[in-house]
Amino acid sequence: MRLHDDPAWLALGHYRRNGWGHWVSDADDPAFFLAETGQYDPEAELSATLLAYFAPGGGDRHPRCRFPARYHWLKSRLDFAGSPTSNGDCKAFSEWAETLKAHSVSLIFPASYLNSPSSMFGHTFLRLDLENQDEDARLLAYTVNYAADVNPADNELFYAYRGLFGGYPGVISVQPFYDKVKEYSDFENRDIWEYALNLTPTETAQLIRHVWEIRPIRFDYYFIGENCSFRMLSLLDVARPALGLREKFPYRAIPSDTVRAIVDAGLVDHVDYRASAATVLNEHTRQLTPDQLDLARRLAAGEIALNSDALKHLSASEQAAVLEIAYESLRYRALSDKLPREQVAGLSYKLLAARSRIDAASPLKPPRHPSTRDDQGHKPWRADLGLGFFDHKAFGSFRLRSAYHDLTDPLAGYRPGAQIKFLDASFRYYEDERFRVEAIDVIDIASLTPRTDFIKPLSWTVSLGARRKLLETGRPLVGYLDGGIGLSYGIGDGMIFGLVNTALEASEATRPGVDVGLGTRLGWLYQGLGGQGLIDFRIVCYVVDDDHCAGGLHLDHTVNLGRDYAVNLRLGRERGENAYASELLLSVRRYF
Amino acid sequence: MKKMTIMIGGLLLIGPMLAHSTNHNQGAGPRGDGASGCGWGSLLFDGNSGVGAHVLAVTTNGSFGNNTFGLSSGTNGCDAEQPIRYKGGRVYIGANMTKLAEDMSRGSGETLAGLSEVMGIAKEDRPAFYALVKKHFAVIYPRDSVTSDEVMDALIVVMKSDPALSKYVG
Repeated sequence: MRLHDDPAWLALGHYRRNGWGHWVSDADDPAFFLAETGQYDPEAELSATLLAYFAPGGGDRHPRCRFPARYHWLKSRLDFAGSPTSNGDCKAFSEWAETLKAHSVSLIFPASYLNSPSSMFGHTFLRLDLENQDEDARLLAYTVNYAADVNPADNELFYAYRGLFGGYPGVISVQPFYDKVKEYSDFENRDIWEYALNLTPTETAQLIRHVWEIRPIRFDYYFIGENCSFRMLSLLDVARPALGLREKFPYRAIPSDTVRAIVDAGLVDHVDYRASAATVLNEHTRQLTPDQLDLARRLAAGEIALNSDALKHLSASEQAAVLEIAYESLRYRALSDKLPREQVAGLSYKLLAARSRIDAASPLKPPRHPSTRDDQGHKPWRADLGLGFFDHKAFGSFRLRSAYHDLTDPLAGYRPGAQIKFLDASFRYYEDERFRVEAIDVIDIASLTPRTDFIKPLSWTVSLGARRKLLETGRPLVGYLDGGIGLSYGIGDGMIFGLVNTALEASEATRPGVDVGLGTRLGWLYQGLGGQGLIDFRIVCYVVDDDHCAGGLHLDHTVNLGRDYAVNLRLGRERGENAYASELLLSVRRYF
Repeated sequence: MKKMTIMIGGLLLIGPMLAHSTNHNQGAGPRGDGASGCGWGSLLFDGNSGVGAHVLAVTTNGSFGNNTFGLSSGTNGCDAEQPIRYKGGRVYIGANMTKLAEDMSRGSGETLAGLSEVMGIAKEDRPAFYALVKKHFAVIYPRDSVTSDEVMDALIVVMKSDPALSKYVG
């Protein structure tokens, strides 16, 4: 193999083959290349790099110091004898690497969080672990993070556009792990999975050298393809070129998929779990009696004083638990409701001071490690094959979904009540030989989070796509934009929810062309009978096209068959404009 | 004991300057607890705002410019090239004011363990350290508007008065 075709060199230059089979580097910055054509020519870049290394001079600005990872690799493959072969004069780099003291690497994966289905895409970054790092020192380790350098003044549409189609520069940053924990655990309430990787100290050292190389370099950020997780894979490919992780994700890199690839590649030594502030609070509240919980709630609301008899009658250990939960819930509320500091600081401080005066260790136990990790849930693609009846006509059904999770998909590894679907299309072939597009959901998000005494989120849904609308005259395809907002409450393993809905519909086939609907939706999301399901009742009344309300009652039950398969039964009765229809559909789902 | 020397040096230089500073909020960033460890005088319970921006950031795994920029370029009064553990406890406390208060009030927790790591407290002395800060919580955190520098100063005073732990602030 020629040197410039070596996977290690291609990884160091972030080269990938484009659609025409030509090499292109992901780095979008001339400062990363020593050859004029370096972005498109690994061979020219390698020659230019070698030439530059032998140029006279030295010090931090010399290419030997600017690109220490390339230097290290080339030196291991070539005979540098009789030439300026050391890059030992790279003071800035040496000091930087010395301060990081990286001995091994962990991949950090903040999981999706309550009430934010978009976080299901997740995020990954690397933590540089110290030698013999124990639990006490973990927060002090450094992280390598790749993120879009977003302008906070951009509006959300612009933001989404640039995130999808490019325009934001991606930037590598090195931050202490405690800052990341604060960001994810406390502010965003995301549980964190920590995958300790089995990279050797030698491989870790090469990764660090390469982080130094790309730290000032611009890589354009693409939400789907070249995102945080993809960049982390490229760093791991540099550390261990035989992994070839980048090749597994040519088009899109969903963080949980990249975690699966890292697990499958045998890179993971062990996994730790770090519960978020909300998870901790929820678990802690389960350990109190209802009376104690009520006391904690009233203390946190400032309804009763800290010297109240109700508190003093408890044992020291119980007082500690009540005060801790009162503080945790107040802190949670301050962060999630963005309460001004003045409103919470006084009471927060008093709760802490009162807690410190109680001579008892915290009796509250931390949340347990969930039995299924986020990367152990079903995969995001889904294909369904089914047979059914609609309005007494038999049909065969095919459905394909690009991502990610549906309320009735196997729940393990996902959050109850959280749904995000991208590009979900279903097609039917009816017995009278008519082929029909049944529905195309471009995006369909549901965020149903149960309210408790301490955590009181709103539930909401939003979806956009095209669907069939039942009318007296037929069932035309209409474009729609739906939104709903309401409340959810936990019952047993599941939850019930009620939402107020609005629908905007547009079609050439309907009389007004554009219609607006207002309605409600009630549902019960349950677990059991070998899987999970949803009973869903909707009613919507159209305000432009008078005198017409539509609605339906549906049952969707899924029986889980391992991680990759499921069987779904859908039963429904629908009412349209002067028309009724019943539906039955049995389908097999495959996740891949 | 190199780090302690640096820490005490920092204390001597900065302590007096802040002693008559009325603006306790200086350096505390919009993301709370002294934005990414760069604040010297971060305020307890600060940083409740700015969370909304985060929710947006999450959807494309974004991070906001100022923070990233500050850390990669050494602006914002913090130097990304200088890892925290070599600057002693002061920066760590600045970045973890609120979590640390919670841990100290209980005498346990990961953030408090991290502080003992930063301050170089030996494993066998940690239980005593945890008990000490819990007992003297109201001295170390005397009011709800305390700043990280005052916390550090008070912590040193409290530790000096303890025979087993005074050696770490000598």
